Amino acid sequence: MALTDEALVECFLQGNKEAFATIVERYEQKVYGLAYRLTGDYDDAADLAQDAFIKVYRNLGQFRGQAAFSTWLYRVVTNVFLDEMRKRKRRPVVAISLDDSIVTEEGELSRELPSHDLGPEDLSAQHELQQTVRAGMQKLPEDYRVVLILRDLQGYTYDEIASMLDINLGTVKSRISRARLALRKVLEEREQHGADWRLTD
Amino acid sequence: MSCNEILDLLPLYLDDVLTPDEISQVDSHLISCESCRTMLELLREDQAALRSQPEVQVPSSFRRDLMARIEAEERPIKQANKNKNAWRYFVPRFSSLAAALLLIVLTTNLYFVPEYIEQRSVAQDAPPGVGIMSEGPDAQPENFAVKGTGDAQLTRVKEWPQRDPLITQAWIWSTGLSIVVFSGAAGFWIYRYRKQS
Repeated sequence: MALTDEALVECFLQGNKEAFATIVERYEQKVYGLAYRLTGDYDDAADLAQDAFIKVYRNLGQFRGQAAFSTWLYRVVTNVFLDEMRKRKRRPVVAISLDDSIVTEEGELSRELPSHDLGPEDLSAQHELQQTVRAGMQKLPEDYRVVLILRDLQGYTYDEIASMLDINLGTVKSRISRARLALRKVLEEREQHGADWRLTD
Repeated sequence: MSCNEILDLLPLYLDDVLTPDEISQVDSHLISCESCRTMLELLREDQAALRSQPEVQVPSSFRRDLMARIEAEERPIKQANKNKNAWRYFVPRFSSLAAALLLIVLTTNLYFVPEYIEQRSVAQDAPPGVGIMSEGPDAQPENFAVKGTGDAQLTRVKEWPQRDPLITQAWIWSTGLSIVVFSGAAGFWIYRYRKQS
């Protein structure tokens, strides 16, 4: 019989390091999925998921079983994500313009980005809408993105989201409302600009 | 209610978290307002698209990388802690024991030292026939037995200063006991420390 999450946590706290590997095995898929929704990038998602698990490893003693272990775990993931975003805002990544050419000894090279766009034949209508929404999500402020992911992708109730993010129910409601409307606005802009609006996946 | 006010409520209407009062307000507005009806439909589509996002597959090396990272982070900390702990554990114990034993050895030696000095002074008042060399070749006071006259033949008699055998024994025993106690305690503490960590 498989142990419950809480039993595994107890095992780990009593010194059984193998228990942690079992926890990771059980949740890596979910945590990575959530991390991917939050970051919108496969590599960033792997980094975020690993950072979150390491934080869990260090702070497992603080889990007191007040909520389901999975809720606590996802809460750690979103908090690590929001912390990281705040840090990045304080020291912004140096932007490089694609218009600036790279000067080398042999002359100048123009910067190119690899294209992630799929060919038109791969895009069924359903797939295209999903991809559009995914790209639109990445254009939202992090606070909005987080509540929409917790609500629509993870399926948490408003109360659960409130306790996960340490905000009150009223804030959750107004944030979800604004987030949905903001997403709609982003998608409308895409519809208006049509093909000009490149997907940045 | 104006369209703008209703607009703010629509996402929550979708999630069914409005009060019955608000629901009826939205319902009655929707009947008469087409643009808000369209908006609700679009929001519903967005939500459905969001809910049907395909699962992404976790990289196959994810767990291995993670466990390796944890291992790498743990090792230096563990080692540093271990060294620091060992230092903290052994230094006070050994130094207090060493101090106590040193005190015992020194005290017992105090009995031995006056005896040694006395022995030398007695030797200098030796009866005729016994030569005294205050400093021997190896810088030790020694007694010589003189046989006959003329060319004196000196036979070296190396003597340990005469001491009360009881005190000598006490000194030997106390030193031996100190060594035994010290190594016993050291062994015990090392055993305890190993068991702990």
